[in-house]
Parts: sequence; C-alpha cells; structure tokens
Amino acid sequence: MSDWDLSQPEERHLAAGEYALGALDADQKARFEALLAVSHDLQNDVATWQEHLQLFNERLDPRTPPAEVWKRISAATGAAHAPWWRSLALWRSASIGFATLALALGLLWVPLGTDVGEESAVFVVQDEARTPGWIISATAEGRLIVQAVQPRQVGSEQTGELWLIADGTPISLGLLPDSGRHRLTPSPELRDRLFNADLAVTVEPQGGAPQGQPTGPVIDHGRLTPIRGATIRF
Amino acid sequence: MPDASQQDLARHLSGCAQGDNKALERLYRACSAHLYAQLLRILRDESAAQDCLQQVFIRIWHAAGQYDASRAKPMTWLSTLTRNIGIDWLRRRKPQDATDTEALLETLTGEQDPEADSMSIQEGDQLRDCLDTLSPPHRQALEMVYFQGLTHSELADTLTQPLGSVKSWIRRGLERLKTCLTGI
Repeated sequence: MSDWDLSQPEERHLAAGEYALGALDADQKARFEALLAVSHDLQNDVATWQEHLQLFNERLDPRTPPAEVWKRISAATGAAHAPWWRSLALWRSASIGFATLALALGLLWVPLGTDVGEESAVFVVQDEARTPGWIISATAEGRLIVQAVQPRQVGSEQTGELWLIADGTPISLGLLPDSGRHRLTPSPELRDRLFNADLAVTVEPQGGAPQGQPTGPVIDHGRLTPIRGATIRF
Repeated sequence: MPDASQQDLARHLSGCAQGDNKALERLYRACSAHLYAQLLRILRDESAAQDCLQQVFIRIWHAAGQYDASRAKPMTWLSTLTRNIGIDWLRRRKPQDATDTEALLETLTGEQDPEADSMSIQEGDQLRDCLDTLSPPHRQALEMVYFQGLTHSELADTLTQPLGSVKSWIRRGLERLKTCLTGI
C-alpha cells in the first residue's frame, strides 16, 4: 500500500490498532512486525489496543464448557505432577549421564579476590517484573561471579540458590548473595557443563535447599549467553 | 473483569509457570467460561470450540511463564492467546462463509451517516458501552475482522467493496473506539 507511511506517528498508532485487530494483510503485517520488533513504543501501542479490543470479548456471555473438556485438559497436562525442572523442554536435551557428578561436588563460596579472569558469558536472573535479581558471569575457565542486583523475591529467612540442570536433575551450583559480589567455584566436571546447560534460580530456606533438591519457587531459568568476542573453553 | 479477579488470574498463571497443576485447575474454573464463549463466537461450532479450548489450556500450561504482567492484564493475555488459536483453527478448517454479509453491506453502503447515530451516545458511559458509540456498520466490520480473522483485503472481498472503503471503515471504527475509551 503506497500511502502507508509508518514513519508518521499517527499512522503508526493506527497501524498498531489494525495489527491488534488482525486486519493487516500479510505484507503489511511483515512490515509492521519488523518495526514492532525494535520499537518499545509500538509494543506498548499494540498492548494498549489489545486492551481496548477486549471490549468485544467482555460483551460475550460466559458459557460453561462441558465437564469433558477439563478431563481432557487434565489428562493432557498430567505430567504436571512431575517436578518443575522436568517440564522445561530445554532441559530434556541434556544427554550425558550425570548422576555421579552430583556426588562429586566441591562447591565453594568465597569472597571475590582480584584474580578474576575475563568474563566470557552472562546470565541475568530476572524476576517476573523483569527486575534483575543477580547477574551471573562466567569466566572462560568456568568460574562464576555473582553480583546481587535486587533479589526482591528472596525474603529475610531465605536465600537464592543457583542450579545447573543435567539430564533432568538439578545440581546446586551454590547460594546467591543478598548483596554484593561473590564467586562460586563449581567442580571441574560442572565447569565443563556450564556453558551448555540450563540454569535455574530458586528461592530456598536460609542455608540452601535442605535435601539438595530445589523446594521453592523458580525465580528464573535460562542459559549463559556468551559475550561477543570472548573465548569460551568447552 | 474486576481487578481482584485479574490478580487471581495472575497468581494462577504464575502457579502454572511453576508447574502447579492446581493452579491450572483454578485458572480453568475462573476463566474457561469466558474463553469458551469467545471460541464459540469465533468458530460457531461447539465441538470445534471444545477442541480449541483444550488446546488453549494446554498452551497456557506450557506458556504461562511467558506472561508478563507489565505488558498485559492476565485476561487480555489469555483472550489474545485464545483468539489466536481460534482464528488459526478457522483458517485451517473452514472457508469463510458469507453469513451476515448482506445485512452488513446494506448498512455500510447505505445513505445514512454512520457517525450521526453514534454521536447521540452520552459521554461518561461505562467503558464497555464504548462499543455502543460505534455505528453498527463500523462495529460489525471490526467484529468481522476480530472474530473471523479477516484481513482488510479479505473483508473487502467478502463484502465486494473497494479496499479503500473497507480500510476507512476499520480505521474510523478504531479511532472512535479509542476516543471513547481514552476520553481524548
């Protein structure tokens, strides 16, 4: 459409409405989404329009679905009774037997010295509101430096605990500080896995998960992201 | 939906994200009737709506962790997800039918000024009455797009109207809706 000028704010705003409504044709949609991907304002615009368009849904009279539907949903999500760390698809991809490593942990939590190597990869742990709780950086050698930012989900008698998930089994990498910067030193076996494994952070009682298995809610999960230009030893 | 209920939904979603099956059940009790109504409106077929509702909750179960409270109210997030699943189903299974098209066409292209009757709606009405500020043809055009998943071109084809006119109806409808909702 030749007169579709997304550089005009008003045009962009209306396009956001048309996008939320679902009216854009394929080529317009592609152009709009390219812009959407990089524009926070536009993302907010779309969210606002979606909120406006809820009016259409709110007008509908609720209808109770037949009981059969819930039975099917319940059956399909039955795996839900498994612990949370099994439900993350990524974690299933780890394929190397890991059971023995759990026994071989020599985890140390030591104040940060000056002999820290260059940071090669980071994992920013964020809560639901996307507030960073900690920044976890790894050196190429597999040492972890943990910087507390605002661990808001951790209460007074609690601590954050960092886990590496191997073969569907969480292995503790150590406790996360309330404030300041600390270093975690995973065992050599775990260091080898750090850059390819899924990590998760949970809220645990002070002193860490009592049975060596996570008990509290997951604050975040993800992987270490390599810093561009850094070298990583795998 | 009242804010308190929205907060409940947000809590249930957060429970789902952590693999709490009870949270999914609570979420289902709280909003399945609304989402089912939405699917019935989109699909006009009970059996298909039930299949899609099942898909919706399975999707919610797996995607609850992606819900971002700073970007959308929970019910809006749930409705958007539901609508996407419903429209996808519609596009895969069913050629667009021309139900209600004739009546809409008459009002859209008739002599009456679509703006005129909507101006009589008083300001300060409940938010949900903002839909009433749309002239019937504008509202119907928006609803055809929203609930039937028609794009501008498809709507123009369905109504055998020029694309430009259809776009203008949609835009005027959206503008009016926004004016009413934001009081600008």
